[in-house]
Amino acid sequence: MEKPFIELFSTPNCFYVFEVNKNKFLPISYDAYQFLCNVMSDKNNTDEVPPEIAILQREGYLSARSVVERIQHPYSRFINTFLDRKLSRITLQLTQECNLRCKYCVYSGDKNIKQRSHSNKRMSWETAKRAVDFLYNRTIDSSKVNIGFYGGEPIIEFQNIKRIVDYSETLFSGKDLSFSITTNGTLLNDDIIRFFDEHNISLMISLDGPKQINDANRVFANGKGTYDVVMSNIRHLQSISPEYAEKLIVSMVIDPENDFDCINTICIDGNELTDINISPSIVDKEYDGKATTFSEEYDKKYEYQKFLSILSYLGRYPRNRTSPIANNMVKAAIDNYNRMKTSVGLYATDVPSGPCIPGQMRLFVDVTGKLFPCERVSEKSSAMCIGTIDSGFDFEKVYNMLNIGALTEDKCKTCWAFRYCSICAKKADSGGLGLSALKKLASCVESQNEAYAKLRQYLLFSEIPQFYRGQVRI
Amino acid sequence: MRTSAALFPFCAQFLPFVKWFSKCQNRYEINKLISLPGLAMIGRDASFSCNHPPIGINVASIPDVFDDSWDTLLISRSNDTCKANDEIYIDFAKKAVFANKNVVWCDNGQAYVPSKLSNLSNHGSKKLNLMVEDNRKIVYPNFGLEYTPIETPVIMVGGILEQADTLELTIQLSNRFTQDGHAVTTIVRNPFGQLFGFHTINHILERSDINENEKIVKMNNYIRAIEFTERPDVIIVEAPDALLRYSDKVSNGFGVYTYILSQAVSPDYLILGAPFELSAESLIAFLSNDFSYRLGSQIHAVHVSNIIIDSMDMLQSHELSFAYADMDMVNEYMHKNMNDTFPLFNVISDGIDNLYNYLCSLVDI
Repeated sequence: MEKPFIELFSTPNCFYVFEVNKNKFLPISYDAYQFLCNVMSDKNNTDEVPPEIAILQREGYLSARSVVERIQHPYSRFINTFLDRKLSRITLQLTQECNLRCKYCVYSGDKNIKQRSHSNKRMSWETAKRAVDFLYNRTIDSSKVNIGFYGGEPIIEFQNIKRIVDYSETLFSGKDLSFSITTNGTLLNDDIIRFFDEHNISLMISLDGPKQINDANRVFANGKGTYDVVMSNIRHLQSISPEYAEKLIVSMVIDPENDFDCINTICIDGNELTDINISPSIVDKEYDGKATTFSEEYDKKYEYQKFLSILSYLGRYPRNRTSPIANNMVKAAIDNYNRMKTSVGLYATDVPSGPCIPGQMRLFVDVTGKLFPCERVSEKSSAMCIGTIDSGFDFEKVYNMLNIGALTEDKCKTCWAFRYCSICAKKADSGGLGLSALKKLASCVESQNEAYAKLRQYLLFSEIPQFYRGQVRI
Repeated sequence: MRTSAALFPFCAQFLPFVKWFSKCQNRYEINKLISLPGLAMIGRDASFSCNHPPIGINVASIPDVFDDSWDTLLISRSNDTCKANDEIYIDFAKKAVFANKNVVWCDNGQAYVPSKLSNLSNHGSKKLNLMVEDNRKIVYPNFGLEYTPIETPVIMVGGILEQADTLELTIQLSNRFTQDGHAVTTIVRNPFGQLFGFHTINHILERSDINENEKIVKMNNYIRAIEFTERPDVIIVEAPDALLRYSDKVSNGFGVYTYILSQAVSPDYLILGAPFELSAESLIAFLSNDFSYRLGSQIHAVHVSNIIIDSMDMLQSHELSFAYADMDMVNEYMHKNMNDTFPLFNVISDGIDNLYNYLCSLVDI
C-alpha cells in the first residue's frame, strides 16, 4: 500500500487516523493502526490490507497525495486594501532604553547579534505624531483602534505618552480608541497611575513569579532583583485605583527549567497575585540561538495543574484551587478545540495556518519610524522591515511574508500539519536580506510537535462525551 | 428653491443618502458633510467611506463648519458606525441652534429622541424640528386589528451583511420605479430616510414593551395602513438586519428582525446584497432555498458588493469585521461568475437599469 497522507494518533481509549486532506479524525481498530504504523514507517509489510482500511480507501480516504496544488494566501489580493484601510493596532517603540537588565531579554547585552541591544535611542514627538497619523489615515474600515506603548521601558517616556494620548484622543474622536502599555512596573508612581486610569490605558506589568523566580532573571542594571519594587507598586496601584487595578494584567514569562509549582504559588492560595489576570508565556530564546528546554519537574507539575484545570472546566473541581497559569493555557486549548470543530479540509489553492497579514493587526514602529509586522521580530533584520511611516508599506515584502508557505511549497504541501502550522515569517528570518527557506524548515519539527499536542488535546475533549461521560456528570 | 443643508455625522452608512439626495427629495440641498474626526474621512471625497467611485463632495471637520454655506442641519443619531454618544449629537445640535441654524433631527420615534432635545423643541425653539415616524399622517382604515396579508407586490432588499449596499439598492430601486411613473412605498432602516419620504418601522420593531407576536401584528397593521393611504404600485422594504447568522462565533443578529418583518409583510421578491467573494452560485442557491422557507421568498437577483470579510480579525474579536475593496475586484469577479440562475448585478458601478429591467420582467405591476 502506498504511504497515505495521514498522521496517526492514539489515546488511552482509541486509535485514530488523521486524514489530512479532509481534516478529519477517523477512529480505527488496533490492527488497522498497527498496519498503518508499518506502512508509515516504511517497514516491509506483506500483510494484506485490512478490510477496514480497504473500506476507507473506497470511501475516498487515505489518499497518498495532497490535494494542495498551490500555496497562496486567500488575502493576497487584498493586502493593499487591508493595509490602506483597515489597520487596527499600532505599537510604538518609545525608547530603546530600559532601567532593567533582564537576563533573558532579547535586547540585553551583546550576546544576541540578531537583535538590537539596549540603547538611549528614543522616539521623538515628531516621529510619534507621524506614526499616529500613519495609523489614522489607514483606519477608515476599522471599527476599533488600539495604540500600544513599548520599549525598552516605555514609562521612561511618560511625557511623550501623555502627548501621544492627548493628540490621539482628539484625532480619533468618534472612533473606538484604546491604549495599552507593557511595563516592567518599577517606575509607576501616583501621577502615572492616575493618568493611566483616567485614560483607561490597559496596563500589563511583567513579573515572572515569586521572588526567587522573578529575581533570578528580572534585575535592575545593578543586578538587584525587581520583585519587591514591582509588588510594592502593584499594591499601591490597588490601593489608590482599586477599580482600575482589577483590569491589570501581569505578563509572566515562564522559564520551563524551573519548578512549575514554585512559579504557580504566587497566584494561588491568597498570595500576592490572587485575583489578578495573568498572561503567561514561555520564554523565547530563539534570538539567543538556544532551544527552550523543559525540566521534568516543570513538565510533571504543569501537566497535573492542567489536569485540575480541565476538571474545573468540566465542573468537577473548584476553580479557585486551580492555577491561573494552567487555566489560561486550558482556555486556549478549549478555544482551539471549538475552532477545530469547524475547521475545513484542504483546498487546491490553500495556505498553511500561521501567518497574519503583516502589519495589519499589530504594526510595530521602532524609534526611527521603521515598520515591522510585530514587536517579536528582529529590528536589525531588513527582511522583517515592511516599510517606514514616511515611505509607506513595502507591499511586495508583505506579500512574501504572508505567503511564507510558498517559500517551501513542496515541503508544506505534503506536511500533515498543514492546517495547524504555527510558522510565520519570523521563523524564516536568518538575518539576511530576504527570507530563508532553510531557516524556516528548521522550525518544522517544533511546529509539528505543537500541532500534534494541539490535536491530542482536541481528541481528549472530543472523547469526553463518549468515554468519560459518567465521570464528569455532575 | 431648496434649502441649503449640512449633514451630521457623516459616515459610511449615510453615503447612499448623500449620493441620491438631490434626486429623491426637493426640499434640501446638501452643501456640507460633517464627520467626526476619528472616522478618518476629513478632506476626502465622501465615497471614500465605502471605496466607491467619487461623488465630488468632500467631508468637513467640526471646527470648520459654521459658515454661511448652509442653513439647516440634518442630524440622525441612528447609525452604528459612529462611536459617538448622545452628548456629542445633542451638543452639536445646540451649537447649530445657537448659531442661528435650523435643525432637523431624524429618529426612530418620539420615545427615542433624547430628552434634552425634546425639551429644546418643547420650549419653543422653532429652529428644532423633530422628524419621527410616529408623527406621520397615516390613515388606518376600518379593518380592525387582525393580521391581513399585504396586497401590493413587495420587494425585500437584504444582505448577507447589513453593510452589503442594501440601503443603496433600496434607494436606487425606489427612485427608478418612481422615474417610470410608479407609485412606490419605501421602508428603510435608517430614520434619515424620512427626508426622502420613506418610512421606517423601528418604532414598532424595537419596542421592548410588547412581545414579538404583537410586533408582527402591529407592523402588519401599520404597513397595511400605509398601503391604504399611499396606494402604491410596489412596496420596497429594506431588511432591518442581516438576513441570517454569519457563523457560530459571529451571529450578526441571527436575522431575527428580518424574520419578524417577513412575517408582518411577506416578500414576493428578494434581492440579495452579498460580498463579492460570497456570490458563488452554489452558495446563493443554498441561501435561496433557505430564504424561500424562512422569509417567504427565494432570491431573485444578487447585487455584488465590494465588501471583503476580515475572517482573521473575526476569529479573534468574534465580531463582524470587513473592509471595502476596490470596485475593480467586483467587476473582475462578476465577469468570471455570471450565471443565469441568479443574475449578478452591481448597482454601484453599473447603475440600476439592468437590475430594474430584470425585475420588471418578474414583478407584476
